[in-house]
Amino acid sequence: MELPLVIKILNIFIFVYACMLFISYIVIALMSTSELKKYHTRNRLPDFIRILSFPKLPSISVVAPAYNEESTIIENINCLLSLKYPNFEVVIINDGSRDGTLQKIISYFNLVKTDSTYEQTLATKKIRGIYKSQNIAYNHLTIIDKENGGKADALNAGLNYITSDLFLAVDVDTILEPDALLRMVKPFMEETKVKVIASGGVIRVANSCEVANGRIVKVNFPKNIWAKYQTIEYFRAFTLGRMAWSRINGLLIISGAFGMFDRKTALDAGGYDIQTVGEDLELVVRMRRYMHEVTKEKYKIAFIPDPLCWTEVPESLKVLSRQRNRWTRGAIETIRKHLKMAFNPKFGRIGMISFPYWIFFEWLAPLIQVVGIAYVIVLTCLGLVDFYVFLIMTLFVLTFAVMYVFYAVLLESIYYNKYNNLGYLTATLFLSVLEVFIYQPMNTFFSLQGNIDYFFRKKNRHTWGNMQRKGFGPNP
Amino acid sequence: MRFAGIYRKYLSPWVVVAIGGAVFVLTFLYLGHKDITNPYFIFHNPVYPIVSHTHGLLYVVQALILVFISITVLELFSVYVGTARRLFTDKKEQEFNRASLNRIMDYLTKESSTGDAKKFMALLKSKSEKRLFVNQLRIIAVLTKGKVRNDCIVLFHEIHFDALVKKDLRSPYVRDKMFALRVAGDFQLSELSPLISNYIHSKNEMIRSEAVQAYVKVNPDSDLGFLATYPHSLSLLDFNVIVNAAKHYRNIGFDSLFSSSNAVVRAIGIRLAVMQQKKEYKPLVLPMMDDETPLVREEAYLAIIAFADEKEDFIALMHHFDDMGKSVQTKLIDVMAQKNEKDFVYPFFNELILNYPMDIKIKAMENLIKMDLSFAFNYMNHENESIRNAYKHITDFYL
Repeated sequence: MELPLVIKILNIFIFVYACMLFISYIVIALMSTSELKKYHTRNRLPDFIRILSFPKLPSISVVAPAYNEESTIIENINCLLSLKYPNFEVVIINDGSRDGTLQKIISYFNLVKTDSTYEQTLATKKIRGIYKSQNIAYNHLTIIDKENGGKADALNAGLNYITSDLFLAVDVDTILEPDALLRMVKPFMEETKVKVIASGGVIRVANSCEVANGRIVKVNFPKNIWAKYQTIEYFRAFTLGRMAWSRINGLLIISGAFGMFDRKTALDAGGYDIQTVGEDLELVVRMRRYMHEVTKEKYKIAFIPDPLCWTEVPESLKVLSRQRNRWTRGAIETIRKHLKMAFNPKFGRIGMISFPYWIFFEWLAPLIQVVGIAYVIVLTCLGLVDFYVFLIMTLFVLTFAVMYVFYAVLLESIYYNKYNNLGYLTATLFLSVLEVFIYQPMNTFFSLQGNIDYFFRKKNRHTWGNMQRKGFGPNP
Repeated sequence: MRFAGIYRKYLSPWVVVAIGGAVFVLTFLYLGHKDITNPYFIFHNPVYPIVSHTHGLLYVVQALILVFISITVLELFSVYVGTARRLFTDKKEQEFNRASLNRIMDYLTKESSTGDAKKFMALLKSKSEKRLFVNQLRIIAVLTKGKVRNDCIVLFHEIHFDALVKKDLRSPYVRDKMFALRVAGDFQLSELSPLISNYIHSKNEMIRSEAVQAYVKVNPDSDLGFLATYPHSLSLLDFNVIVNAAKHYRNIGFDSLFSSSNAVVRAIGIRLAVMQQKKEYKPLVLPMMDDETPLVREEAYLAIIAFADEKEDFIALMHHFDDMGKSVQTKLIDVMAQKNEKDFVYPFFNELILNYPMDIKIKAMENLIKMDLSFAFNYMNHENESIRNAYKHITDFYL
């Protein structure tokens, strides 16, 4: 039967889109392999500790917003205070917590309210007080208490206060490896030709891991099924995706849970945007835009593949859906705000490669995927497509997806091998297959919901939702 | 099993990619054949009945499915082989590291002899064990000083690992060269200086950086003249390693370093001059406060702050105050406060208090009040709110 022209055109569009997507995944896999190898060759000798003796080091502020973290805040702060680095401070911003977070910190660290005063470069909600410890052991800890304004607002309050060269933006409940600062600062010091304005790190899943004194003492594969899927997803996203983009200096996002930035550049670019729910993505894009449009200086955003940061991921579908919904809305907000960068040669690889990729293969992919699958099913049912052809195409997509996920797991096992029990490995590989059938379609659905909420339910556009977390350890 | 052992030894992502590529090519070459024949065997293609009826795009898709399935099976096998290898080697390495650390500590803490060193050699059979041991020893040598460090270097020489290092320096692999350069530098193997010098202009940036650092470390009597004409970029990491290594060198040619076209080299020269308290170079450093490179300017400011002993030095620094980073600004304020020269320090600090950001206001006010308490009353009741706030800050007992 001769197909109508519209269907032929749609067929060609879907075919071309799918080919570009698969080719881009293969290119990403190859580039990330090359970048991982290069990173491991460069950092093979474990000498990060020698950085401690260097006479000229950038100063670092660890900036962590806290909201209703009463159950684990002391352990979390102690973990941050014990990071290895000669010249750093920890600034916790209590973003109007309604529980006993502030009282607990004041009591444990022997804090007093000070008359500390500084320039408020970025507008934020009212600062209620700056607290410092009377105990000299906590000299490098500062607590900023402010009215609730959201994560971006809290980070801006921290940015106003600090005067260091670099700042590490973290979620207060993340667990960092003791040498995290030493590893994250290295790209800023190694580069000779361009200015490094930010470095991102890998986020690993801490669910079910054994935690003692604010440190991961034993890595376990999560017990919760959704956390297991997210572990595999993070392998793929970080080990393959971000390493590849870092290779061509095309990285558009640094995780809000763990990222180091040049303070002056972030401030000059305007700090975090409080109007967006994807403040991490938006800041990186804006910093890049600032470098291209204002300073016109050559620059780079680095990425560290070592597992330095561990965080708790959602264990319930409800919380997971809220998180993915928010990520989608954040991405759309950023894309719309900076749309002029797309296909604009003035922005180099970001404008010509990264940003268009983000639009077509990150934002629009779930939409095209759903439409494409529905379209093929309809055509098959109408007899316009042979059932055998439908099966072959489905098998093609599924075998590619499984091969891709297995490759990510292979890279993790060769370079890091954190899940070094053969039982965990078998579970990982088995779930990698199921992930294609269960978790990825779910994610597509959440992403679709995010698009609907953004475009059709405008009142939900800027909400975070309740991101419940269990926390890691017992109360001190 | 033998194949698995060989595969396990050489497993890397690129091996998997290469095999995957080979599978891709072979699949497309032979998929359409009913039988694959060669002089030694005939292989009946099991999927031929399926693919023989299809042509064009569908044939390609089916071929790719087979390729993906084959690669997936290879990855599955590789993951298990790789993990088993890591489990085995990680455990072995941990045990070895623990044992060798204990032995090194015994050697360093007890009266040692050449016989003890020979016992180490008997234990270290494989190349990887030697490398692990050398790395342990190297880290201890880097983190310690005095007798302990010297004993580590003596032990290294007694075990005759320089041959291993020399061999690795000549290896075609980047990782071997990096290891050898780092070891040669940290153990100051000056006899390898000619070999190391071959790499200071390497096309590979990692090797080049490592070689420069090692070359400085193994030549303590050098005037660092090679840096003055070094044509490649140096990083802040190189700056730190070189400065740490050369801070006690006695023959440094500061003039050549100051006149280098490489900004990091100029900065290294200035920092070393400060560390060695070479005040006689102040006239050469003064003009570098107008250098085009921020790193050199910052080092020059810090140097002049350290060397300043005349009013003109401070006036020159005050002229450059706006270009300084926060840490340099606060350092200058502290040093000027120690001079307590009313005629130029007081007006300058007053200017800072009136017109500069809060942190500078606070620093200047703090020092000014220490020099002359009468200023306190002016600022306590000043008409400018930010000045009153700065006063409150400095009088806060807990800050």
